[in-house]
Amino acid sequence: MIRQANHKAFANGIPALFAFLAPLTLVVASIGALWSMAAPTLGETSSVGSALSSLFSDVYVMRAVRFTLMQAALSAILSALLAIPLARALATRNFPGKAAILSLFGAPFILPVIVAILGLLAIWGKNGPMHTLATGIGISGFSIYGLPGILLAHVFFNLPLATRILLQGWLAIPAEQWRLAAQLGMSSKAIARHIEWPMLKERLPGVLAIIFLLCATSFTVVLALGGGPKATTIELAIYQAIRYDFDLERAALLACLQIILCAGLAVISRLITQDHDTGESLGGAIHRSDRTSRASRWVDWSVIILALAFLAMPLMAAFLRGVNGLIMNPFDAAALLPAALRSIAVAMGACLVMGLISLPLAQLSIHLKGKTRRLVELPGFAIMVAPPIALGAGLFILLHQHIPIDRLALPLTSLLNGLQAVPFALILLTPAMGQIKRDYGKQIQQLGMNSKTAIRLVHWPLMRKPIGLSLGITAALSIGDLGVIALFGSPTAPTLPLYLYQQMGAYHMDQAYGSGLILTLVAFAFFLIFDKGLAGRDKN
Amino acid sequence: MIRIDHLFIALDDWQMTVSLTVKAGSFCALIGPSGAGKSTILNAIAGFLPHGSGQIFIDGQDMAPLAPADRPVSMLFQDHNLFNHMTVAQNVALGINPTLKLNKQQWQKVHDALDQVELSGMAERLPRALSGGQRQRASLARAILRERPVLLLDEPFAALGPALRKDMLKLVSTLAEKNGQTIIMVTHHPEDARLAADQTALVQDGAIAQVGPSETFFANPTEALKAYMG
Amino acid sequence: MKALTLSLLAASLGLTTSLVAVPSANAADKPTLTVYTYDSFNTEWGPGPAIKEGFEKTCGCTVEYVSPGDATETFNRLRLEGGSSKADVLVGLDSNLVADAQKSGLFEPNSVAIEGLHLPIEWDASTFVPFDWGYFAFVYDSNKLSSVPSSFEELINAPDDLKIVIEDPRSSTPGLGLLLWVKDVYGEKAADAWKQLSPHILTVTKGWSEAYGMFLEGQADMVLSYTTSPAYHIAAENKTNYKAAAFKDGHYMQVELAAVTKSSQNKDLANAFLSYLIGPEAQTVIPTTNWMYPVAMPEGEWPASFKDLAKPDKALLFDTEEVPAIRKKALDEWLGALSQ
Repeated sequence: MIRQANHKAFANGIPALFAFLAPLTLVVASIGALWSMAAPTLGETSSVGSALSSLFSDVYVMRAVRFTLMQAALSAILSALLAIPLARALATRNFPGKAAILSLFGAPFILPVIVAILGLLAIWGKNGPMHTLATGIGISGFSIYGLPGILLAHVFFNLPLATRILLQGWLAIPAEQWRLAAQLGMSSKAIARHIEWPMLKERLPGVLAIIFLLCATSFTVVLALGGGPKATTIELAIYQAIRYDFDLERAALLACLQIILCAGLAVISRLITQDHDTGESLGGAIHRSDRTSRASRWVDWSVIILALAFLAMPLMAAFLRGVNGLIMNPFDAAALLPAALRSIAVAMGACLVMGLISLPLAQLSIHLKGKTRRLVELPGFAIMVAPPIALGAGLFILLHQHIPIDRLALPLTSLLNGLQAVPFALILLTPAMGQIKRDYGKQIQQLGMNSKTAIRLVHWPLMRKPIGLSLGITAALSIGDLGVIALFGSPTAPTLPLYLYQQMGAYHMDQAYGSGLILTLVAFAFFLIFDKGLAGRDKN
Repeated sequence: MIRIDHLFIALDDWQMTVSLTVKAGSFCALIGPSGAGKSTILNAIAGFLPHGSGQIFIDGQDMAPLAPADRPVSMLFQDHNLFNHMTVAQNVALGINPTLKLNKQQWQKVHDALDQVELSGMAERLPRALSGGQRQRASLARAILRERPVLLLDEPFAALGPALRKDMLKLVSTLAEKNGQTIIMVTHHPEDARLAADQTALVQDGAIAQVGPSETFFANPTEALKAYMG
Repeated sequence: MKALTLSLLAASLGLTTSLVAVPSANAADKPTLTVYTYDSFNTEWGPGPAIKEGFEKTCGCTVEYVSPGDATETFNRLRLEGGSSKADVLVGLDSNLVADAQKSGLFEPNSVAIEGLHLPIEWDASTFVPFDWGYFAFVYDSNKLSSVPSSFEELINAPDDLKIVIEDPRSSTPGLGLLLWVKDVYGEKAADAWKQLSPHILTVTKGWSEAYGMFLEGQADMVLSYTTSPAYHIAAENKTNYKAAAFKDGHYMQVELAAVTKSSQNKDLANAFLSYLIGPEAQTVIPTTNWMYPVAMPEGEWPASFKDLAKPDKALLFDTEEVPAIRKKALDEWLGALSQ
């Protein structure tokens, strides 16, 4: 056998192993700690088997499982289905400000959930324009509460994400294929079958998997818009187990159930699907001859305008309430500034964690063969779906005797935020790293570049774009996330989202809207700083 | 001299066994249908492929323990010989020092090499501002600077027009002759072999079907070569 | 690389920690009283800061708050820490959790001289000292809702378009309050009552903030909150249109309690803090920061905004010992009735 040169840039065995195991260990250890705490508090040792059987015979738990899976699956399918015509229209039509609009697409993602819900309700709820419209055209008793409301909110949150990924797919179709289609006089239907469907077949499973995960764990939305305990989640059952029954064993089991069901389903769906590259540019438009008719233009523009209205109206409602809140109330810089700084510090920590985990994992994935490479996504998925309340309690049990955990609320939030961002980062980093290996792997070996040189001369210049975007997403997610800080708590030193919740809890709704606006602006600013700043300009 | 001795390579459900000797300073062409294993032989010599039994010797030295960078070999590919984000001069300079830390003298050598391939004015351009032929000439400049006794060409000129391809072959032959390099080239064009190669081998189904000095090779075709040439 | 990874991680932890860590200036010569309390008690709008300042003037100590979430989560934090907790005092235990708190064995009787408590019910304060209290109630906007139900019966029989928003009893304290309120009023028929109420329930939220926010946005006609909620709108916003509906059935109470922990190393200080909490200074602060009734202040001295609030005729509260069993049964009934 030929001794392989040590050319592996970001990682060789140890960092990759660390990156793979650390998040999983964190989850397993937290839940294990929860479990180990259970026996003494219960005063009796019950077998896992009997605990499991009590879980599965609990009609409410089973209903929660079914409902969680159903609403998440429906949300994912609906978001993806709606993203198809939208991405197609955006790929075909060019207009001034398209890039800016695609950037703004990230906003629903950053917004604190409670602000987003109230923004949605301002449009779709009672007294909202959509409600008035529905009543106007004779639909009485129009109400978004229940499954429709949950789906509406989830599409609002996830349509932009799905659209971005699919749009990249459309733009990645080689121009030759469109020319070929034009030459052969292919109809839209034929193009859809021979050109677009193969692309969608590769990308849709990934889109579905990540939206499924996001929706399966979106607990506040499901509860607020679900209309009652019919719409219940596994996470609520965990709340019940921990809060009142203090039944940590049951909580640990429920947490396992949630992680295995959700992360397991996601990984399986990834294992049976194709690889694809993402992270290509979103600029420009494709030229296709089948959609030049007046009718098709009309369809595309309607799709774009409707989608923009759907996404922008709740954002505008939240924005206007935020402006109003800032005008009506004196700007409390003494409280807001430190909160913003804390959030930024948390976000920077999260970015560091994300980088330390994602880069070795991305590197690991390109050394794995075929579909096994998808397994590197498991640690990120596991953290993403681990119920925060169980994770928080478990981490607390694990750590409180060794470190002053209340002082560490912010670093722990950094850690968990960073890990939660890993799945998003991997979507961007893995293909970029794979491409470098494909295109330049042999050159790097032949020229005898060592890791440091390869990173400096090849990986960094070629990956700063996806790295910048990953950092931007991580920072934005982290700044907007309430996270575990609420569980470890440090109310005298709150982050922006915690401060916002505190204001709401103290009846200061208007101020909270103002804080929401500031939060969104800060998150967006950091997104742009990383995305545009790090990506750099192409030298030409 | 390059001596490949019963080299066995298995990739998934495909395998090949090859023996081949190329004299020092000569030019050997590998022709044959797609998928026959021509590039695989080059990748094995360059050290990009792990192989099973058998050995590769260059000037009597066993290649097995050597990493790609340590082998007396430079290889040119059809694509991606140049890093698109570096200037032409930087790309060539990598041949002297892969960390791009060069002194003045060394930079002078870079420019001399660019002169040799007639790219003097292009040093500060990015590869995408160059034509296909210019890009491959820049890659060649790097190969010159690396001063390795063996040059492996994996269809680097396949995408160029016939006249340009001929020019490039001439350039490669001249440079190799000047520097005493041994060349193995994979090509789809038998006329390339006729034109430039001292020795030609037909690779088919994971084995060498026919090998010999180029003149006699084409003059006395075996059934396999006949079938390939059509 | 691993060492680098770890040191980078440590550096970032250190960086973020330095932003949180409150330097305790003279920790060396002053004892620290650690008070566990729920988050909203200790925000800039809550009573926490003023009480800390006031108590520190006299105690020769430093008060340090720790707030791991809402009242239930704070108590659960103590349960997780068990005997090793550094908490000296727990402030804000919900009366519905007293049985669990007793059973946990984490608290010990106090030595506070308790007299002149103004509570609508009898309360044994030997371990758990009440410091404020309130009634759960449905709050409405009198500009929008004209026919206000004055009992659960009237709420049930109101037109279907009268919508209420409530909190989930599994994740929220007011939610649990409503659950016990309905159980207290309807007893064995609670499940039926919930079934009849369900057409009026617009939605059930995770916590109070979501529910109250939705109500203020005009999504629902009424929201489950406290009789004292309108006092905030009167005092802070000069708005008198928000009112609590007085129910003839009586209103379920919430009593907020404080207790000294068994593991406390500063028991004298802890007891002194409890005394301060029900003393005149703290009691004056509490109504307009926590928006609850003070426990040791005659009605005549209440702040102006509290004087015109709806006053229930009848206070309801289960015997604390019975709560855990009732809670379990009521929750099952609730789930059963509303899940169909």
